[in-house]
This record gives sequence, C-alpha cells and structure tokens, in this order.
Amino acid sequence: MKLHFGCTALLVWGLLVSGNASAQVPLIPGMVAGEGISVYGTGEVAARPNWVEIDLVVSGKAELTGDALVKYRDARKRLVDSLAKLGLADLSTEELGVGISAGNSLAQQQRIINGVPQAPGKTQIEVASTVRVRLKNVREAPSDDVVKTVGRLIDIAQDAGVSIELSQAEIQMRQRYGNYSNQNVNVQFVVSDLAELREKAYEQAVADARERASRLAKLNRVKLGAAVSVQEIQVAGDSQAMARSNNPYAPSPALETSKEPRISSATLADIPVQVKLLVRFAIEPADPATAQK
Amino acid sequence: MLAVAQSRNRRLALRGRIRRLSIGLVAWSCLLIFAPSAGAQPAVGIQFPATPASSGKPNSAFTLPTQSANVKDALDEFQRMVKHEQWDKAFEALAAISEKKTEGFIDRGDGVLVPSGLLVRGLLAELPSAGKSAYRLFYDAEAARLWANAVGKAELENLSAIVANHAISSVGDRAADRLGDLYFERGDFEQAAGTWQSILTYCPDSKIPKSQTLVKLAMALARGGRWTEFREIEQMVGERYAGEEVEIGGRRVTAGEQITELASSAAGPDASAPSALPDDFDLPKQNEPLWRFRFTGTDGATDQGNPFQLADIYGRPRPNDFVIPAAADERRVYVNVFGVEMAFDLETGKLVWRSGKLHLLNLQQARQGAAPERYTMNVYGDRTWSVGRDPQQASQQGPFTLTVRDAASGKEIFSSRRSLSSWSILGAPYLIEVPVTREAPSAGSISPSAPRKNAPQVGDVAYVGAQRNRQGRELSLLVLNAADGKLLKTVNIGSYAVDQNQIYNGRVARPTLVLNQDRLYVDTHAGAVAMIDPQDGNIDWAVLYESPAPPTGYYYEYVPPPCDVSGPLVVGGLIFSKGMSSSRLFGIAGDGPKVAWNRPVAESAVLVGADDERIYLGGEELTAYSLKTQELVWATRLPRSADWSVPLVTKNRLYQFTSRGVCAVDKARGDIVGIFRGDDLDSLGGSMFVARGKLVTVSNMGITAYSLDEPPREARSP
Repeated sequence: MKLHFGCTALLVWGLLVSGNASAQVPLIPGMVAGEGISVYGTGEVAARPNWVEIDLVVSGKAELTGDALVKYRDARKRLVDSLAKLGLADLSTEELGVGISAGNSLAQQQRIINGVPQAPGKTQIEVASTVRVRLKNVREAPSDDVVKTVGRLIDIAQDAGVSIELSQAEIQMRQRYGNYSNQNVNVQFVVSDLAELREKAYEQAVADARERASRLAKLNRVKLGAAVSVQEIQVAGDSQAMARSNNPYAPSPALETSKEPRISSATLADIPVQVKLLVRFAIEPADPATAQK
Repeated sequence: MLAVAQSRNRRLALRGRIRRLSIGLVAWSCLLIFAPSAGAQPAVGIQFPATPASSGKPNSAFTLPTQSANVKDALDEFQRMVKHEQWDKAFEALAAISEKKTEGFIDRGDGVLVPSGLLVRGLLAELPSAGKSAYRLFYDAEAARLWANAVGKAELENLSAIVANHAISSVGDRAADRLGDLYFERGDFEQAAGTWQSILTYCPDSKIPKSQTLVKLAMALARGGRWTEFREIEQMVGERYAGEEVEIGGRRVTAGEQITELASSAAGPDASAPSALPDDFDLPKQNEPLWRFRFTGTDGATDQGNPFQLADIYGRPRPNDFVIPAAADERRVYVNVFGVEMAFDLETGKLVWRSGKLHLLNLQQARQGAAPERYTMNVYGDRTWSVGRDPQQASQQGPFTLTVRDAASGKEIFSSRRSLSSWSILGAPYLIEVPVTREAPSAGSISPSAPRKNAPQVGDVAYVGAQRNRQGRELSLLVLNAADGKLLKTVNIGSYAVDQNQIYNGRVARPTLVLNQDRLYVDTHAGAVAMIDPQDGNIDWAVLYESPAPPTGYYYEYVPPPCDVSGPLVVGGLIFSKGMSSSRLFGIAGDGPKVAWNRPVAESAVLVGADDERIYLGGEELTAYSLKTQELVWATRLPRSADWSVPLVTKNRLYQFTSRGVCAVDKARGDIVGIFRGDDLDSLGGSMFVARGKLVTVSNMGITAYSLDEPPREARSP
C-alpha cells in the first residue's frame, strides 16, 4: 500500500515537472518568451523570372576509363558547340562538376535484383556532369517566345545526342525505387536579381509587423513601444526550399555555383518573393499622470 | 561465466582492432614511403591503354568440334616426356596424334582453336636442340623417303605430310618451300603464306636464304590482300635484306626491288578503301516525301506506336523495335514483313507485288517469341533472296525457309521449303561469285573469287546458315547452287550453348559471313569466328571470343539489351568481328592465326565500315577507332534509333536514320553536319537506301521516299 502511494506521488510529481518544462518551450518556433508583443510580419513581391536554366546531363560510359573520358569529352563538346552555333548573345553554358562512377550495366543490375544467376559482368565506368544552359534577360520577352526558345534549346540538345527520355531499363530501375517520373531534363525559371525585390519585401514585412502589433496594442489598451527583437522566419532566395516544382522526382538540382540569392520555379509565371519576420515590440509603461486620472 | 566470455570477446575484439590498426598503419606508411615514386608519374594526361591485357580463354557461348580425350592425353604425355628428355616416348605420343584423322580442334590456350597437326608442329619447333637432334635421328629417314618420292601426283601429298608431321626434319624447310610454290601456283595464297611462314617459324636453321622466304611470303600476302602483315615484312626486308639477291620465278632480283614492286600493287581494289565507298550526298531540303507507304492503317484503329502488336512471352505488347528487313535496287524497294514480301516501285511507291495477304500478319504477330530478327531480305540482280516463316503456319517452332523470287514479278524460283524441308535457315544468304562460268558448280569445284554484289551468274554459290529442324543448338552452313537452290555441300560449324529456338526474350544469334580472297569467314555471333576453305568446306581454324550465353531464366521485368548482328569486316588484312552479345571488338590476322585486336567496346555496338584510318561502329552511339593505335578517336551519341538502324557509310560521311530524322556525321571528327527531319518522325528510325537520286527510309511505321536535290555523283553521272 505504501509502495502504491509512493508510485502515485512520483507520477504526480513527474507530471507537474513535465508540465512546467513544457511551459518553457515556445509554441511557435523562434518565439522567445518575454514581455512585449510578438507578431509575424509578412512581405511579398511578385517577380517574373529573368533567366531560364536547363540542366542537361552529359555522360560517357565504357569499360575502359579512357573510352569513357573520350565519350564524355565529345558529348559535352557537341552539346556546347551546337548551342554556340545558335549565336544567342544571352545564352551561356556552365559545367557543374564532373563525377566518375563505376558499376554494373543496367541490364545486369536488373538481373541481380530479380535474383537471376549470372556470371560476373564487366564493370562500366561512367563519367558524367551537368551542363547548365542559361538564357538571360527573358523577363521582358513574351511567354510564347521564351517557351519556344526553351523548346529549341532542348531540341538542339537532343540532336546533339543528349538523352531527354529514359530508356526502358532506366524507367524500370527508377520505378523500383519508387520514382515514377520519366523526365530527365530539369528546366528552371529563375529570378536572379533578388536583392532589390527582397528589400521591398523586407519593408513590407516590417510595416506589416508594426501594423499587427499596433492593432494588438490598441485592443489591449497598451502603448506600443520600440521593436526589441526581430527574427527572420523565411526569406526568399536563402534556400531552394522556395523553389516550386511540379515534378517531385525531377533530377536533384545541380550544385549552385552562384552565392547571390536567387529563386526559381519549374513554371514560367510570376514568382512570389516572400519575407517573413518575427518581431517583438516593447510595451511602453503607462504614463503615471494618465494612470492617476 | 557469461561475463568471462564477454570479457574475453571484448579482449579479442580489441586485439583485432589493434591488429587492423597496425596493418592500416603499415599500409599507410608504405603508401607514404612509395608515394614519391608514384608522384613522379604525371598527375594528369596519363595515357590509357586501348586494349587491356588478355585474360586467357574467353567465355564463349559456342562450341566447335574438339579433339577426343585420347588426343589430349597424348599431348600431355608428349609434354611430360619432353621434360624428362625421354625422346622415344615423346615421339611415340606424337605419332599417336598424327595417326588419328579426327576433324576436331585443340584449344591453343588463348581461345584459338587449331587442328592438332598445327599444334604438333608448334610443339616440335619449341623442342630443345637435343630434342630436335633426337627427332631427326628417329624421323629423318621417313622424311627423306617422302621427299624422294614427292614427284608427280604424290608430290602435294608427300610434301604436305612432311610439313605437317616432320617440319623440323632435315628436309622440312625444302618441303615447305616447294609446297608453298605449289599452293601459290594453284592460287591458294592463304595456304602458300602459311606454308612459307612455317619455314620462318619452325626451321630457324634453314639453309634457304631468309630474304627469299620473306619475299615469297610477301608475295602471298600481297596477292591475298593482307596488307597489314605485308607492311611488317616490307619493313623487315627494307631494314635487313634490301640488297640481297633472291630467285623468284627463275629470275634473280634484289629483295628490296621485289618488295617495292609488290607494294606498288597495294593500290588495287580494296573493299574498305575510301575509293570503294559511295560518294557523299546532300540531305534533302524538303520534308515532303515523294511517296509514303504506311504499314499501319490511317483510320486510327491501330496503335501508331506499335503497328504490329507483337507479344512477349508473358503475352504483353512487345516494344516495337523489331526489324523490317528491306532491300532496294534501281527499280524497286523490297520488304519482308513477317513472311509477307512486298515490292514497291521506286518512282511511284505503288505496290508491285506481294507474296501473301497482309491480314495473315495477325497470326504471326500474336505469337510469343516471333523472332522478327530472323527474317531477312536481300536483292541480287533480278532476284530477291528472303528468309522467313510461312505466314500461314501456326507452330511456334516452325522452320524458317529461304525463298528466291523474280524481283520484277515476285514469282517464286525456288524455296528451301520444298528442297530442304528438314532445315531451318538461320541468317541471311551470302552469294559468292565463282569465276568458272557456264558450268553448274559441283561439290568439288567451288572456287570462289569475290562476294557477289550483282546478278548471280551460272556457277555462283550461296552460303547460308541453317539448323536441322528441332536441332536449335547446331549451326551448319549450307552451300547452294545459286541458280536452282540445289544443295552442294553441308559444313558443320559447331553448337550454340543455348537452343536458338528457345530464345523468347532476346535476339537470336544468326551467323554472318564475309569472303576475303580465297577464304570464307563465319561469325557465329555467339563467341566464335571460323575460317573456312570454301572449296572443301574444311575449317582451317577458329577463334573464340567473349560472348556470354543469353539468359535462359526469364523474369517479368527483363528488358533485353539492344543488340544486332554485323560484320565480319575485312580491313587491312585483318578480319574484324563484333559478336552480337559481345563486348569485344576482335581483329584477327590470318597468320597464326593471331588475335591482333581484342578491344572492349559497347555491347550494343555493331560494325559499320572502315577506311584507311579508322573503323566505325554503330549501335547506341557512333564511334571511330584508330586502326593504328586502336584508340577511340571520337564518339557521337545520336538521337535514339532502332536497334537495327545501321548507318550508311560514304567517302566522308556516316548517315543514320534516327527517331529525329536522318543525321549526317563527319567521319573525321564525328561532328553532326546535318539533320534531315523527313516525314517519318513517329518511328525510331531504321534502314535507308540511296538509289536513282532518291533517299528511301524504311522504319517499322512505313516506307518513305524523298528526292535528293543533289544526288550522289555516281548517280548523277550518265
């Protein structure tokens, strides 16, 4: 009986302690407990993309590494040369790193997965990289023209031997890993001149926060003081989390080479440049004279 | 107790870790110590070897007749006795081999199968001096007797016996010299070269001047078109024996002059020379075709992407990448669609004749394992030569037959269905021109001179691969009279590892042939190339190459890799072979034979053509390899094409019909110099022909003809 009582007491104490502990954790991430009025401020400016980027994978695969390098070299050269022949002033290409991998052929991998006995196969060496094709200054161009130009670039890439669609073996291999996409090309519409747009969004966010805080102060009959802390919750262009893509299984975005903030989308439409802030304002103490009255 | 055991385990584990760490430290130290020497190598720009080191006997899916175990035992016995210098017993073992008249081959150990006699000669040549002296003591009398009696009708036989069995005897070199003369006089340059080469190989102490043997060998090589080997002899003579006098045909000449004279004849006709290739042509400028015949209906009832609705072994629609065999001449285009042959007028596109009713195709197409790649279509002069199944028969194991028709009317001239009903044809027929005209060939009088490219003449013969019905593993060559299809000879090549009638999820290996001078080369496309004497049907030698057997276990998700048969190709005296499922490009020099190329290439690659500098391969990508260095010069990946979309080769271009049109590629650099989209963009490409100022493309969607604005020069000339 004593033991039972002791356990119950411990349990009650534990609940109390845990209750206190949970009270210390802010319900909203980033919110710091303290005096004052804490509000979110959001600013949003829509912008039309000014760049188009197409990531194309060029590769060379062979049993001999020397052959794979020649195949890779020629594949890249033919792509770059074909694009250069277009003579577009705003078109540029950039190679985003070369990778070398070794493994079985797709057919062999299939047999392994399906448990079919087989003799050891020849290892294939693959040299591959992503060539980023960038078309600048498209903001003012009509959408039809932009889409037409992108289509032309993809056509040229295909004519130069870049594989746009996947082989049947590749599709099956992707499906085995739950990837039902049959796309092999990543087209992104980019807003690269983000600095000015973000300034505007910041201004809007600050104004929005102050407006919200003023409303709360008024309703609570207190006087709104100065901002005592500001925290960025979300800022467009700081990460690719803002990128919108219709294709969850698209190839992973290539390494970003630019440190400048940017935002991208898989569709040609205005992209929201959003800034979200968490601002805490002080509450000014009541005027003693006013209080006496 | 448990705690003690755990403690012991922990100690052991700790010791293991320490040991591994120590080994790691030692290895790391070694790395550090040796790193400077490694660092002396250039960090970049390292040259990669074009051909990896040979790994011994290849994994082949084809078997040729091999010698009995007794012969192999006798060889082992010989080698054992030689080690112990027991010469009498060693030579007894050799005698046992020589007495056996078997037709099998012995693996030389490097994948080359040679007759036992050739191997014995090699073994004798490698004997130490004491062994050679002992051999002469035992066999000189016999060799001398043969030599003395080598006159008249017995001359060839006796000399052959000396060269085959007593090459290292005191008369071996003279016998080989005379035998080479005999072969050369008969026009058998291959045998002549081999016999003279045997003097250099097996008789290093010969009193016959080496310069004379070299010049004779060079003559045989030159007449045999083996220019790569000729160049080696030319260089050797030029460096060492240029001023020496030799006796050739009863006259005294200097070795250097004779070689120079032979070298000047190298500009003769060579199938691989650029001059023998057709002229380049400009791609059409208008996408609008002159005419088009669609295999699929225009009412939308048939799937545009899969007009023939083939089923795989599980009954699912099969990917529409099968072959539409096609051929063209100056008047018509011919196709063989699952046994229904059709001819179209080249000018108008009108159907001239057909061999069957098109609705019968449904029966064939619905079959599992229809093997569309086994159908073929060729045209030689005024006859079409096709291989296919009777569209009306329903057996899944039904035989394939060879049918020859009048190209103008489609009237059947002969068919193996009637005369060779016990055989199922495998692969396309290969016609050979025989110089003895106006006489019907007989089994003993086949003396081919060149591949037939135009109308067959009286006396021509046709070689075609075949299997006896329900004997899907065997491969034979049928030698037919090209005029009436009568069987002249059957040559047994060997056996496939897998029954070719049981391949439902991949492509069937069909033999391909090429004639080079007086020898016929057969690529089985399952791991073996054989050289055959077309006169007597004997296999001189065979070379095995890497070619894994097709998978016999099927599973639902299996996607067969793309592949197709091609070659063999004769370039610069080498026989190039690329097996259908092999990842090796093989170049074989007839002398030896010797494997000169054994180079990794893509499994899907097919031989396309060659010129003086490069050999070109197609498949999933176009590639060019240097004939001198074996290095990959360039690679060009074109838009996706059907597996059977083999490029056309001209003097300076490669043209390929792809899913995005016809691409023209520069042969020197691999650059795409033009793309003609055309009107057949629904297909994956296919075959193409240029005839009478027209470009004709054949895909599995239809046949399309375009006008060439700038026809090739030869077509424009009157």
